[in-house]
Amino acid sequence: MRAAVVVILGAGLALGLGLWTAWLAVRSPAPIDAILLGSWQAWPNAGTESVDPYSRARLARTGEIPLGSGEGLMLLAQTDDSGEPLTSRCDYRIEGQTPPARLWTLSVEDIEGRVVTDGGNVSALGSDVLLRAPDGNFEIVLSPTTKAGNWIFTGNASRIRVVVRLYDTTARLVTAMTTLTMPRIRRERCA
Amino acid sequence: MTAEAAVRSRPLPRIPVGGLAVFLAAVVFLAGAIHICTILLVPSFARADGWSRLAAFAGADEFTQIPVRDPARANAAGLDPLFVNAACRLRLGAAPVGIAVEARERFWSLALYDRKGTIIFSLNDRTAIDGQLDMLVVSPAQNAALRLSPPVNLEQTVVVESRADDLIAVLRLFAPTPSAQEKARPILAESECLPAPLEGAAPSGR
Repeated sequence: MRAAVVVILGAGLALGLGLWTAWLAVRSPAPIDAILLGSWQAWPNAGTESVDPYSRARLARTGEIPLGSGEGLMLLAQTDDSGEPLTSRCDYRIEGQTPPARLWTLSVEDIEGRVVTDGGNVSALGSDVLLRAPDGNFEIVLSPTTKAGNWIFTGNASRIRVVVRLYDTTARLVTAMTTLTMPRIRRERCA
Repeated sequence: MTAEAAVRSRPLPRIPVGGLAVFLAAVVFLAGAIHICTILLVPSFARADGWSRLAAFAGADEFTQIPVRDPARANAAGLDPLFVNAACRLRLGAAPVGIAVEARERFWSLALYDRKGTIIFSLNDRTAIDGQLDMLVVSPAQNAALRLSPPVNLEQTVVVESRADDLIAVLRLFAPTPSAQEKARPILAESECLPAPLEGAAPSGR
């Protein structure tokens, strides 16, 4: 009797532990097979032949459609520089430079990956219309209220994430990843 | 508990330290096995993986637009909202598929996905000659036949060999403004994604 209880308890514990750690590994955005640059994460192997089982499982679960190596690279930030989760209650200043790319876009999504829109306008900005300082640096303000300069509307989704997509970029090479600079994300006023 | 039962189950409660260690080791081992099985099984059980989401929108023999800006549906996670994204289903069973895209003004790119979500080939507009791309997607057998009797304009065609005969091509056209989106629609309509039987001259109908 006691042996049966021990076996059932052990099996239940193992099942819970196994499933929980599997969930931890494939949740979005998973830390496995990722490149970390400050608060930015990238998965250069996503969608390639060399993808590992964890990333394959993560992609299958989130339904993300990765960019090909000839297209570009996606980088994702869910937190600001201090590690606090990004929310639409706060204003954020994204400043600095991106790795070299012919074109890049920065967009705001909710935590499930849905785009944030303000009526007909989508919360995204392309490098073609970006205002820059003479030294090439830029500042983008994320805020739920109108701001001067480069401004992106963050809507009323509570948790948000910021996606930068670099197109036609050399940043795809994993050897180049460690020397990349991505813009800082600073939290400003919160509502 | 009766004395008899206590005697029977003696090995477990009487040596708690060793028993606990064995118990924990068994739990960790089993949990590891379950963990690995789960990770390996997730792709075959996932219903909303990238391929399924693309397949829901992919046109047969034409590029059809994937809605991205519709906030009500998260169907196209990972697609850039500043782009017009379109998909076309390729079936190489009967004949190779010719893809032709002509777009000059803005950045665009093309990727071929197989059933597992692996990108077997991708390129951007820099590869296109004067804004015009002609691509022929072939199976290994079709590629061998193609080498035996190459069509006239093959050197201007990007030939991609695919082991999978069911693919989805995703075309992304940079269109950041409403007017650019308007301009991207005729580009989509004129882009070709058609079976191109090997007999006959032009693989992409140009």
